[in-house]
Amino acid sequence: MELYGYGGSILEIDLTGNKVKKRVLTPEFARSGIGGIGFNAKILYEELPKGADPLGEENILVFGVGALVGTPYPTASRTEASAKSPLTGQFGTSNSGAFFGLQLKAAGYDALVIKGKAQKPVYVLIDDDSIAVREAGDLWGKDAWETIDLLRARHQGVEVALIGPAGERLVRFASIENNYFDGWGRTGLGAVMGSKLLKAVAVRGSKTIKPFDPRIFIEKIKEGRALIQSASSYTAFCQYGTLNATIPYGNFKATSAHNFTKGTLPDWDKTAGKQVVDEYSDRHVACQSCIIACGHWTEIKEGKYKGVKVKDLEITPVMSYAATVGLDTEPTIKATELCQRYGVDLVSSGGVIGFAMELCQQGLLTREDVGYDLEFGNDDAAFKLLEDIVYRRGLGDILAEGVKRAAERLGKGRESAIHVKGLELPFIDPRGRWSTWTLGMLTNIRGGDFLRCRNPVENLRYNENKYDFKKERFGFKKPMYDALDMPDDLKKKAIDLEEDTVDIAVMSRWAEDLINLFNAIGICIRPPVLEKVGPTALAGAYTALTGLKMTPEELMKSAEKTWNLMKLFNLREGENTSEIRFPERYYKVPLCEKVVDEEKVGRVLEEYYKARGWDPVTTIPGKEKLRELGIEEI
Amino acid sequence: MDKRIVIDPGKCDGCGICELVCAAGRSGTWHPALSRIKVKKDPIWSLNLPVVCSHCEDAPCGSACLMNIIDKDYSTGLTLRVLSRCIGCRACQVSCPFDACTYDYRSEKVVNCDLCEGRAPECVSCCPTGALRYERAEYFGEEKLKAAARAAIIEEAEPVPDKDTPGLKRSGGVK
Amino acid sequence: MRTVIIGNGVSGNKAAETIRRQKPDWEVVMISREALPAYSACALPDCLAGWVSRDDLFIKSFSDYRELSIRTEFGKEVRLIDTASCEVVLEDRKIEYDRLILASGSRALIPPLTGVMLEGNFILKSVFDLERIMAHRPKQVVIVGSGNIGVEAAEALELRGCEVTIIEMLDRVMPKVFDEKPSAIIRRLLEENGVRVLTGEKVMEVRGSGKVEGIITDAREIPCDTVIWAVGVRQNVETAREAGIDIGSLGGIKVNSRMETNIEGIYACGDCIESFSLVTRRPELSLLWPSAKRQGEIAGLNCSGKPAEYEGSFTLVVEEICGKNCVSMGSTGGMQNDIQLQVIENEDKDCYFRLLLDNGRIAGFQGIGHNEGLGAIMALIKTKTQLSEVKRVLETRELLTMVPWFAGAARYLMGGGDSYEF
Repeated sequence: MELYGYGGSILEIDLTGNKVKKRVLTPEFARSGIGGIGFNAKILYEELPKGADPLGEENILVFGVGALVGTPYPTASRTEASAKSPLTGQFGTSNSGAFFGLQLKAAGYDALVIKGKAQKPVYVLIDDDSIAVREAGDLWGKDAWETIDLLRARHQGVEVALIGPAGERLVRFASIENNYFDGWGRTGLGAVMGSKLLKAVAVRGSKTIKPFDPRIFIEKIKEGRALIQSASSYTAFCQYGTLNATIPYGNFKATSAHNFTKGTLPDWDKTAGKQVVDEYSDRHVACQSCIIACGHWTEIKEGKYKGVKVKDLEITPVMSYAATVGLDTEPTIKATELCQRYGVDLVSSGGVIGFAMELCQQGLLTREDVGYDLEFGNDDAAFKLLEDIVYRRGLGDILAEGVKRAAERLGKGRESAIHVKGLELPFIDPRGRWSTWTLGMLTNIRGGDFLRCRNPVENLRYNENKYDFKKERFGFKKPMYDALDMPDDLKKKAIDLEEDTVDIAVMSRWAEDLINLFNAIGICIRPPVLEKVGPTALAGAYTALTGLKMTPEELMKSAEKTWNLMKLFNLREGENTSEIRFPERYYKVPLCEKVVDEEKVGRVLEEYYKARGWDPVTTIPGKEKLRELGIEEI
Repeated sequence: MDKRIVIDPGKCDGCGICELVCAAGRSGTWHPALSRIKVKKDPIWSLNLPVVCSHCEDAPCGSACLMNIIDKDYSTGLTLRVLSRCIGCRACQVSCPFDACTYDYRSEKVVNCDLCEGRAPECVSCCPTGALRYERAEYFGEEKLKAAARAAIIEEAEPVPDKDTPGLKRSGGVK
Repeated sequence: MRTVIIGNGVSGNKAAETIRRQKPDWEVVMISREALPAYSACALPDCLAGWVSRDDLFIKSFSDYRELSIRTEFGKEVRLIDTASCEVVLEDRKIEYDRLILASGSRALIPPLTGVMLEGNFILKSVFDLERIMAHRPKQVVIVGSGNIGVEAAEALELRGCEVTIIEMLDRVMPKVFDEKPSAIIRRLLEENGVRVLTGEKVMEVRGSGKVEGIITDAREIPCDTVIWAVGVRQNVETAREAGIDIGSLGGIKVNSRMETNIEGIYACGDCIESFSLVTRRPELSLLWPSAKRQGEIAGLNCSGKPAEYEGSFTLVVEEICGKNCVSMGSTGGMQNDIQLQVIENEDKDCYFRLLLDNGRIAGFQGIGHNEGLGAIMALIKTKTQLSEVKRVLETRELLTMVPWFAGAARYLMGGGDSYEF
């Protein structure tokens, strides 16, 4: 049966024996996962044996392309990469846009599965039906940008997913870079590639995707565009991207300043406010099919870091380096370039450096331990340490293990190791601001991170923690409520218009499933999209593209199923409830006289688990829920 | 003067929607390689540059064509091709200074933008940033760029050989 | 006003069309030895391969000439040109002219060796040659010469199931347009596709009784039933020389930049002329379709009273050989023996290119498997832009958007391997 809208097959490469297998994508498989993270979760849950060593031969790395990728559906560019994480020991996953997904799908593949381990450094070249595993001896050791230069000169028109020196040396939070300026940053997937001696995947495709009903699909594209352009955050986002949020978070005292000890820094607005976009950037850059273009071409024209050219000035690097490490604007921009070249996660690397700096500040680490003076705000020292970490020199070798393991190995600093389940936490500091984001850091499948639970009606205007951690202020009027694409009964439970509140537990569960759907269908989670594009619009687009009829409910169910599969995976790998807690500091050390109340948060968590149909104590998904989702436990 | 696609590269953010839409509309597929408008990207130079056939007056593609199938339509000024006789030698593609020809690898022929057969170009209506406009340009294409090139890069070309080659005899009569 | 054009190739036809557009009321007469409408000689090997039908070779039909009001005298030989009475003498009549354009082209050479008159010896210059080869049903073919025609014909016949050998006198294939390294890659492509390639070997004799049975070189004997001679051409200038028109030292008719010969009112264009290189300004024979076309246009313009200067001929060879796009433009390393050309090259199993630089400017390019940005390189060669200027433009975004082709060329100046330090 001809499959519309998809590439058509799943490519499996076993590096141990250089075996290539192409599995036909069946309609059942397509429906059950949709694409992207849905495919990844299904494959890893079913095929990765329990207890596999994340840095061993058994681990499986999967790239799943979103279902809408390859079409002009606005922001349809996203690809998810997943494996067992070397950092958390559980489901590791990350999502990236740019242009990789389109080429992989145009080559005919909706997912790329990499198994085994090569005998010596290799790279994979995918050119439509032709798959080659080539020697990468001359690439191994080079940084990501140099490698991309070489590969793109050799193979015209390829998109490249690759690791830098960090991944090669199995730095536990190494990233997979997506061409020069994007990447699958979190959970250490770069180390997984490094452990397989796989330097890069270069792909180009020439096949076309066939929509099932082109006329209706084009209508849906126009609908999607109109929705996004009507979002309340659209104009601001087009102008300043994620930097719209830096000053508000500074005001909330909820930044990650100095490794979560300060809330904000004295000249935060000047260093990290959105005006820096005007100062250093003059052009925007988009991912495939995006109508927002939140990326900024950034160039430092003079001074110590003259000549740095990078796509930057996003909140993630700014928080990780300007707040956590305390650097100035230009060193922060330089830090982005370094992390991209080294192939290392911005958040985790900033967190690890911040951790080390705090230990120095407390006297737990001395100058002899480090080799040089290391204090917050010192960019030379920070970059020296970053290099030591990437190349595993001296103290860097310990820090390269991530803050959790580093604290264990050092035998000290546990209080400064800011992570959940081993994944270094990004901003925001929940003592400064409590919202669905911060609950989401506890419930996130991949560990301490907020990207999987952003909710469609989030805003930056209020910070009133007066609801016992159960709710946050809604802050909008009825039109926003009406326009929100959510089933009515759930909406009533999630938002109380009269009280002007959002129930965090109920909304978190919906938001997580919605983002899962976005990551499966391949669109971006930026606020203008999240606010306006919901399951109804997506069901229309998906059905018109693939010919597989899916209602909005079915789409959300599939996303929920994916979330549950990942949870089952985590449980199988030994997740236990004691891991699901914040660093001690958030409960015990007041910031601006506020702490997170562990007991109250515990109760909100219980509500959340109930909303999910999971046991509120063990967090194990209930049998009825699994039956409802059609999951057979393995 | 007729309308042409006028490009403002400063506004292009590289989203590639024009490519997908052109490919879908003119070649029935969704693949940027089959688009007649291409966004040239060069991260090193921070460049996103849409390139499309400028329908040059003195079209280098027409000079190079080994089958003489490229001609100017003198009523519209467009450079058009008789595709049925194209042998896919790609001499035109190599001769275009803007790299504005597209090789259709399925039919093994080279195509160029024809402004959506004279209707309003799809790419222009789908461009989210306004980098593409469909309007009467004062002067466009090769001439404008040549003029700019002369202004930007003052490099005097060497003089053309003498009109009278030494040793020529003028003989014979002409009616 | 009557213009007579001798020759029905692309040059003569372009001249005729140009005159017709400039002067709708002038009389135009075209004389040609072949009784066929104009066709693309470049596409003959494609037709041999079966990729192009015989009908599609023709760029004009007989009715096209009528519609353009061009009087045709096809299938006729020119006996002599009487410049005193301004007449062209054919076998059956005389035609007076006010203007004369010589576009007589060139003919394929066959060296005077033993056995070249045997049945089974061919050239590939005209549609008739093509028909003769096909009618002969070749099986074992030797192709002498590895220029454009030789290599294309080899691939075409190999596709048709023949056993093909190329014999090249010089040390590498396509020596006029490719240097050693790219030439070696092309050789490998041909050999991987089943064509036997012998270089540095000279054909001494064709053997056989009545028909071709084999070929003898200075190194071996090769059995075959067909020999295709692709060793070069000679300009058709004998009639012109007899008429007192100056011929250059390279063998082509001498013209100035307006395609005027030494006799007023007589122009020449196409294969039969001695041209000059756009890049080096030196005399050269540019036996390429685009050059002939452009020269025809210049001749036509000047002839019809609209002065136009020829910018010079530019070598551009684009060949798909065994699926790979092979391009050569501008100067090659082999040509410029006295000027030191710097070479930048980059090779991979997939593709290869080399840039030849002359004092900071790009003088030539050869590439295999590359398709993008080549027009940009050509523009840089033709405008003789200094690479330092390229760098300056690339770093100034406002300038770059005015001359966007520089970005396309930048990839060849920046890409991995040996990259150029500006």
